Amino acid sequence: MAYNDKVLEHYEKPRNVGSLDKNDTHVGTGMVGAPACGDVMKLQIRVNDDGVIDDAKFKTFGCGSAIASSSLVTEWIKGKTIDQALAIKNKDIAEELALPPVKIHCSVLAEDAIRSAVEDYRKKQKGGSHAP
Amino acid sequence: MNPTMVLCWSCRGVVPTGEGFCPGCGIIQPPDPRRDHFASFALRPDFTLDLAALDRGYREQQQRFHPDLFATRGATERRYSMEHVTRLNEGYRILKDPLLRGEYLLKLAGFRSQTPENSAPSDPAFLMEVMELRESLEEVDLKRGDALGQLTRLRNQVEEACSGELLAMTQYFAAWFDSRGQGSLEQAARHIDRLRYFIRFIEELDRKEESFFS
Repeated sequence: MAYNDKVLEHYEKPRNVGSLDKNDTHVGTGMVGAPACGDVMKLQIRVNDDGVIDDAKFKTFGCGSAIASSSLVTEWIKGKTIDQALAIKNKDIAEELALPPVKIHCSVLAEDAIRSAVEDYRKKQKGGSHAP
Repeated sequence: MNPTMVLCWSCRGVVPTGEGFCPGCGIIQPPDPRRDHFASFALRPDFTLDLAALDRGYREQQQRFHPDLFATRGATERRYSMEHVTRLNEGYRILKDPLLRGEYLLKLAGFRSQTPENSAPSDPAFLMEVMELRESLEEVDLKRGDALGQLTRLRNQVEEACSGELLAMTQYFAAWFDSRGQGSLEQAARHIDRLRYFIRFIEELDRKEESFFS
């Protein structure tokens, strides 16, 4: 299968692979999966006191497009606020990587991963010591 | 015209739908695409399947439609024979495999699996479990002496998980055929999804094991 150069670039040199401490209250962990193909994706964000994502890590077991989508997303969300990160849509990812139609679901997975990570972070913040 | 009847393409006599041969002239008929694969092998649609009966049904049907029997006949008969055999092979492949059989039953029941865009968030604890399994597999160092032992342990663990999913599928499909409750079908679909993650894992494990021996 002919992959686009940008996909290959992220696939061969994925950015920000790894893990953050999932027990840290500043860290949100997103876990998503594609039941149709059995791919799993973990995306973690660390949010500083100004509400800015200052670090992001991912781990993806799946095809090249899924790895590239999550790698790209970690690059994009670093330095962004949570709301800016949530504004990233799968269409943006698919366009940037020129994903073919059969691989669009990989970019959907990456978008879902951002949402899932933010949700986890917000849940932690509500339940944490900052609660009113 | 009664939808359970068709006309024989050769003698124009009446043929009950699904009959392989015209009762009047005995000529082979095209396969009925609406006939489900269970019916092709004279089996009751169910997740629990008598595999010996499937094998038997497959052999019997192959013997009725085998292209060798039609080698000296006209082009139409030869084509219908091929179509029957292709369909039988496809049906056999699907029914024999528990994952494909489960997916096929969902399709027959008219169950629409949700697209990734609108699916409910999957169970994060389960995904975490899959992620950890994938990480353990990734961490197996093939250069180490106990690598094969580690792979075998992972395989046993996941095969056991597969058995659990198959058992759950068996129960929920049985409940579906019993009372036709949509909830049973949703549960069956959930366990099919989980099984797919585990089967995908075993494929990766096979690949890693193969690279050890090559």
